[in-house]
Amino acid sequence: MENHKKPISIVVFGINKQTRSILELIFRGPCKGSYILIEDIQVAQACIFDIDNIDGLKLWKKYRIHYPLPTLILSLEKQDVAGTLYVKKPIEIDALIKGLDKIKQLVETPKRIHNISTPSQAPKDAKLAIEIAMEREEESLHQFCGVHDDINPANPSELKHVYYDPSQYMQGFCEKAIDVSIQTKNKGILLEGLYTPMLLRYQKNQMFCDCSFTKKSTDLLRTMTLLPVSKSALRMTFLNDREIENYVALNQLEAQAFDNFFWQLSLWTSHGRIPKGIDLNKVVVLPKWPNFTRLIVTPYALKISALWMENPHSLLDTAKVLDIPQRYVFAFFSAAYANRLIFLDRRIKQHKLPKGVVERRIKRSTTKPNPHRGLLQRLLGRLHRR
Amino acid sequence: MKNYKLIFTGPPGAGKTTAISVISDTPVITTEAKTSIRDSHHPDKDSITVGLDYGSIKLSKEEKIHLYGTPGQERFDFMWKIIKEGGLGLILLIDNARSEPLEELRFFLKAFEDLIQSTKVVVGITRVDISDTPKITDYQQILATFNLNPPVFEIDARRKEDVSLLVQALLYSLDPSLKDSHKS
Ligand SMILES: Nc1nc2c(ncn2[C@@H]2O[C@H](COP(=O)(O)OP(=O)(O)O)[C@@H](O)[C@H]2O)c(=O)[nH]1
Ligand SMILES: [Mg+2]
Repeated sequence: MENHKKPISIVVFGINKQTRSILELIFRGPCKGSYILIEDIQVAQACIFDIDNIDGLKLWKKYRIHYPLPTLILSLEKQDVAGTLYVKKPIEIDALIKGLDKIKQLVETPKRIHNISTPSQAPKDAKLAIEIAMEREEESLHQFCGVHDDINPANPSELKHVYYDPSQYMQGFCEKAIDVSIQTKNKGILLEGLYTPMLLRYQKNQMFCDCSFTKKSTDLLRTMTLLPVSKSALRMTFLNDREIENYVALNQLEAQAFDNFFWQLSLWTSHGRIPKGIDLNKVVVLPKWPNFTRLIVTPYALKISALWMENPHSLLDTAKVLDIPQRYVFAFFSAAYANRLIFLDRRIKQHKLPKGVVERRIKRSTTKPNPHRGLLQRLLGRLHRR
Repeated sequence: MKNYKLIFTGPPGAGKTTAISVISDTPVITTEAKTSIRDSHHPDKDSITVGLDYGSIKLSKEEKIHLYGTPGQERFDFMWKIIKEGGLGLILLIDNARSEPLEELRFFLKAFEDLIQSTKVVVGITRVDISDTPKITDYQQILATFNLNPPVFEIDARRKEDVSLLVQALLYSLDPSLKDSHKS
């Protein structure tokens, strides 16, 4: 029997490669394409969770608070968690299919309000590779910059949506580790209590972690960055050179550039928002152009940098002057701020400038065209397109 | 047809020919200009060849951007004067794996001072995969002594994305109000 319905998008946690492949086979085979594995929990309709993994239970508690999705738990031992389904490991196909059937019922008769849009990965056979590539790009763009509309800063209820608290996430823990590295000039710090341990060598701009961006485990990493950390479980241990060497050899880890990693991590966490406490009206100072070829370039990041390098503006005015959505300004700011490439000018508050000054500034920075603007614009268009 | 120039300069081996070839619409032509100036490294040769690179990006029937790569060696600086006339901006490439990259940065900033003053410059540091020092901050310090604070990116001249991003940064530096083609 053919399945004409849209497949149910399922996100997985704590599942190893083999199990993943098995799930994919079962989804395609016996389940006739009724389900599809996706990476992004924000658009997932259901979840399969292996609770036996390292830190599985801890992760589970955090997950549950934030993502009340219909969930199927995999475990060696019987798990009786209210509101979830359980399938015993090693997985028996029949039991899994039965579990999935129930998940399907839960998804198709939703009890809670959810405005999840159709997952963009739903497969259509005729899709061209380029379309898929574009959708992927679009999706990762959403992951980095969010989808929030512009806020009206005068409205407190809207205002609170632009803020996030980095200390609740892996980002905050990394920032703390950076501070400690700078203060103690320490060689290496092992960070534990996250989903997987991470070794930071800040002075050398290196990090070691067994889920690197280069491997296909970005989904795991992204999940890790989005789940709130339990602060009591976090631990930092100083390692000397010898211990670092041993640790890296023992776990067969490869060095990655930390700045690059942390840039991506802070984009994910920020999701188009800014750290709490940041004043939207204070002038942003970007002392140097970021090394963009080695970073994720979010929309308008070059343009924002060019403006700030020439004529610093506040976050709100930047969006206004450049006539671009606020979330792109916020995303770029947050990544640069976490990476200490940017700061707020403590002295100048633009809203305290006499009336008319901001308007004049805006006018000045938009009415000083290069004599070759049209040409430069066309060349830029060409470069963008390839 | 209106003609405009973008100028790529830097020491020999910095990646000028390569960078031009990855963004040019047409295959890069390297002019083998013969010179009778004696080369101290090759005293046995009466003449040596210099490479003047040329590529282009056609924007429309009426508009074309010419991409020029200057010959690397100092003794051909008489050619630089001709090439840089009417340049829209300068792309300076420095090979990080050579012995004195920071000295080379100084040298080229001086040689192209007038073009930089009247337009903008971006700096691409190449071969960082071979030598990871000096660092970007070292380059930025030298640039600051020239009162310059331009985009400085680590690039691999063989990567189109890197070269394209460097040129885009030049364009935004020339005019931050350029419209981005991103959908919003
Ligand atoms: N390893 C490495 N090689 C590069 C890089 N950029 C350019 N090259 C190579 O360096 C060599 C010299 O480049 P070329 O364009 O001829 O330099 P030019 O003398 O400035 O024109 C070529 O073989 C390039 O492929 C880089 O970032 N890393
Ligand atoms: Mg050459």
